[in-house]
Amino acid sequence: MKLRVESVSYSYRKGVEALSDVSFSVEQGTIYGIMGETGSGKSTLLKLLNGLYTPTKGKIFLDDREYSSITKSTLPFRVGLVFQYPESQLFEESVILDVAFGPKNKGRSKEEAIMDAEKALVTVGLKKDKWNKSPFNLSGGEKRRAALAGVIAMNPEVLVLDEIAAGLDKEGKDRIFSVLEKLKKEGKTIIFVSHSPDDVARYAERVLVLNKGKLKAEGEVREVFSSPSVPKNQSEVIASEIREKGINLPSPILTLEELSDEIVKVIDK
Amino acid sequence: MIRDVTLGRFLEGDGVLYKLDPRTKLMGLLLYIVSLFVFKTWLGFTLTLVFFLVLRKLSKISFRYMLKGLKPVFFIILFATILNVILGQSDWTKTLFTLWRMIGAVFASNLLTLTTRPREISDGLEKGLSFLSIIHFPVHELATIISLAFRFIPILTEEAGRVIDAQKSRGSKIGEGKIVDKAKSIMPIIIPLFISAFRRSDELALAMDSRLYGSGKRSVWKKMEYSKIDIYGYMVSVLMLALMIIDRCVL
Repeated sequence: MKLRVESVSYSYRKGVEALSDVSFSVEQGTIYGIMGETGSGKSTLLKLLNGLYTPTKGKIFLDDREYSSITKSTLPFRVGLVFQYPESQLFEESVILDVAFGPKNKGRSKEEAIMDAEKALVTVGLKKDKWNKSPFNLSGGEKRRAALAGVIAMNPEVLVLDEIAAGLDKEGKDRIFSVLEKLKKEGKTIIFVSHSPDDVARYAERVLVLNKGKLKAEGEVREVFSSPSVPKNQSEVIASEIREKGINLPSPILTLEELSDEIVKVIDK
Repeated sequence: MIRDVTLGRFLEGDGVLYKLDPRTKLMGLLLYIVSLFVFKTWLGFTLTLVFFLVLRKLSKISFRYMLKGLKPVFFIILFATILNVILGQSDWTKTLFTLWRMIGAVFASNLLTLTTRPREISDGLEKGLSFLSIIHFPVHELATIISLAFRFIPILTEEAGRVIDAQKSRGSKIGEGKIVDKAKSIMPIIIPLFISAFRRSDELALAMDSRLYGSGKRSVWKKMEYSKIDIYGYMVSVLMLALMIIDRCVL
């Protein structure tokens, strides 16, 4: 699978571009993090990748086939989109039926759809005793995982996620991202959007930085976070304060664990 | 289509209708809708149509925007019209009159909400119905409920747009196929929307409680006062209804 975005622009209103001349390509089996401030065009980009929106300028290719030549109704099954606060899309009487909604729309038989749903629920780590419960009786984090399973069950090659960790505690975040890591190992491509540099630095392998609708930086996570124009993550902020005190630490520091390891190394020396 | 709902939306403007007191507009709307259902002849039809066109001109709201407001109720109107024809309404003029009655009522209601802020509508209602408080009718609560309902319309339409996009991403074919399929495809939208509406209203009620809503007598932010233009407004509305009664009883 290869996804390529070529000089894509998108306008909600004439004359105002939410996304302007964005180009990049995505390799299979990699986790991409898209970051940028509110209104930078992150969510718009995801909706373009999923085919919900059509670019006003430029083209998007999936395996060298242009999006316009792929049947619009089949695109969501190949590039699955998980919306921000996806728990608000749950509607069925049980978790398993809700997760099976996507596969059923894909044309799978009822039995097959249930099987797909079960597999997805195992992937997201939702315990079996919750499967037949109403999705509205789950906790916040569980609802989020059930909604994620709803898209995973469609078995898309690319998974794009909008602020999937918003409002979750560290444990909840780690759970979600460990699911994404698992999917990556299965060969899926993950693209997640986050306004938090901490999440992107921690979980992404490659990073795209958007600013006012334009692609400001793109590259391997360490390379991008080395750039002075990219917003700093919390661990790097602390590290730079330590550096100011005359203690030599490598740059950039991506996670708190990395920071503590480096400090231990300095103490050992 | 869901994002085209204009009912309950206020549009910034400087037309004459914006200057009218909300009570005048509310009473005017009531009298106009009654007039619409009273007229019987072509003269009445023409007069109510011309009256609306003049009001539209006075509001300076584009006709295209008004037509947009008709989109969400288009199928209801179409269905009612077809039913009218099927149920033995062979006289096409009567069908046309019924059609105009429905469209006119939607247009006029849209004109009210487009030119009046929700707060002004609720204040107008409260003041206009204040005489009912003598019989301990909860006028203020009613006005608050109506004003909140208006505020929820754009919020819920936006939310509906989001849910539709989310279900489309799961391959849901919304509004496609036969009538039964179309009806079925609405469920994945309606249920999350209802739940979100209940959650929002619950949160709103708690937020209002936490700010001690209803704990004391409330004062009005902006005092309402009639001006000369309101007298004309009332006169024209009453005259309109009087003419329609003559149209029905005499002509």
